[in-house]
Amino acid sequence: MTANPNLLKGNLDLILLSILEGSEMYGLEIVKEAQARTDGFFDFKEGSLYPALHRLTEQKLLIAEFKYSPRGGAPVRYYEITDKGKTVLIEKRAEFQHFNKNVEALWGKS
Amino acid sequence: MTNLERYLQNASRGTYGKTRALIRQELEANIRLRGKELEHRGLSETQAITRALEEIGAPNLVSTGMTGVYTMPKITVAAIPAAFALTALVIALSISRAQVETTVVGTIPECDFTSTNPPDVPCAIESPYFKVSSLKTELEKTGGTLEIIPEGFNLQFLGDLKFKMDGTPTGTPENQSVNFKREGETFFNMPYVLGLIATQSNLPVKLEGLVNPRLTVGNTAIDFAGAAPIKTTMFRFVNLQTQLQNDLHLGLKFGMTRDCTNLALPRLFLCGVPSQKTHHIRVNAPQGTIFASLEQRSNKGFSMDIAAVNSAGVLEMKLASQTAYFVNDFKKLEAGQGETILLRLTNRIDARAKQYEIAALPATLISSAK
Repeated sequence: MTANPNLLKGNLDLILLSILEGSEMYGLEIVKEAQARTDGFFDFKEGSLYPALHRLTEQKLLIAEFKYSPRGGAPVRYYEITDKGKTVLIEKRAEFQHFNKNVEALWGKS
Repeated sequence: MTNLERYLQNASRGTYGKTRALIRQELEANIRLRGKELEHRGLSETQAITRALEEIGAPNLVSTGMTGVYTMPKITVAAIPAAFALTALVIALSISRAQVETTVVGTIPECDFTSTNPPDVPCAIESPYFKVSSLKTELEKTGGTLEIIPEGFNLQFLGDLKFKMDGTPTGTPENQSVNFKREGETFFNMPYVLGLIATQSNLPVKLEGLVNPRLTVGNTAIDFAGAAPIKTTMFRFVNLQTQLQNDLHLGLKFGMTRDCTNLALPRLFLCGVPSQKTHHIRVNAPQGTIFASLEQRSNKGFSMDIAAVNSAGVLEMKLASQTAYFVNDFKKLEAGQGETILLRLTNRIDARAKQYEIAALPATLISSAK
């Protein structure tokens, strides 16, 4: 089972910030990390991530820098979460949990 | 040109200068890295790059998204005084891909749709873009089909426009067209179309490629491919009043996408919002005749629906979008608050080009009942 695309899209910022919370990564690495951490539930088309990564960078929630990957090849663009990004992540995480909690509360009463 | 070069060219389309170079560099590095991984699994270099390109997805996933990040904001948050200026910018961007410099005017508050009153301050509203892939999905749920997802839509304005508002100069070059693609999806931004139709009711407007050659919903169909008239009663546009007030007249932001406030969606899968209003209008027209409804108020916004006359000789015009929340009903409009116009939609006007004409007729509202 893979994630509903609409849910994925609606929570993309939260997902990306969560993945990047631990360490800096480049695009391909982010996709793999998402798949690995969720047993394939989050299966992004890599191309769909870059606009979001650039948007978050423009919003100063991420910083980006070209660096050489340990795997060799040309420099790849690494993304790292900023302090502002961490703050936003905390907020988004709380929002998400609050929402989930309330949805579950609805189920409990049905 | 190799597949990789072609991908990079398409993926960076709509961006410029250093941004374009940065995007290409980033994509190429990741694709080649993935290619190397695949080579280690036994694929040839060519096969590996081809596979990596398949995995990364269509280039427009990147290009339209990046355009939204870098290019569109420069025209969307600007203080553009009226619809024409905004339309002209979009047209210019679409045609020439030229970068447009603008001035950011600050944060615009989001509109509060929980209120039953119109906003007393300018607010931002999500534009009712028509997301083609959503339409396809919903059609399939209902047993319908959408055979072709068009790459984009074209809108042509023919001749000089008579529209004038807030000091905006009249007129626009002939035969301009507007295309929109965002987030890797095809969207059709309706405000421009409907704004001009509503305020230029004597102006012939061609909607080219608005719908697919054949669109079916359940047992009904719109057939643009043959010579027959429209067959469906299910195709509709949804109101845009507040949209126009905010986006066009106040010159605020546009560009957000929202599935549920789409235009041109068959009514059976319009979102269930609390603002639905239905008007039953008796008209002197044969069953199956298709009308569009418009409301005009001093050149400020309108609502629009499309429906066919039913067997009882009644049009059921339904306003069912968030933006319809603020729209007065027909009765109030009849009392002098505005003017309601019904337009009869005519047949396709050019078989080869699949062009469809919405022809203005004199106001024909006969009666309405809630």
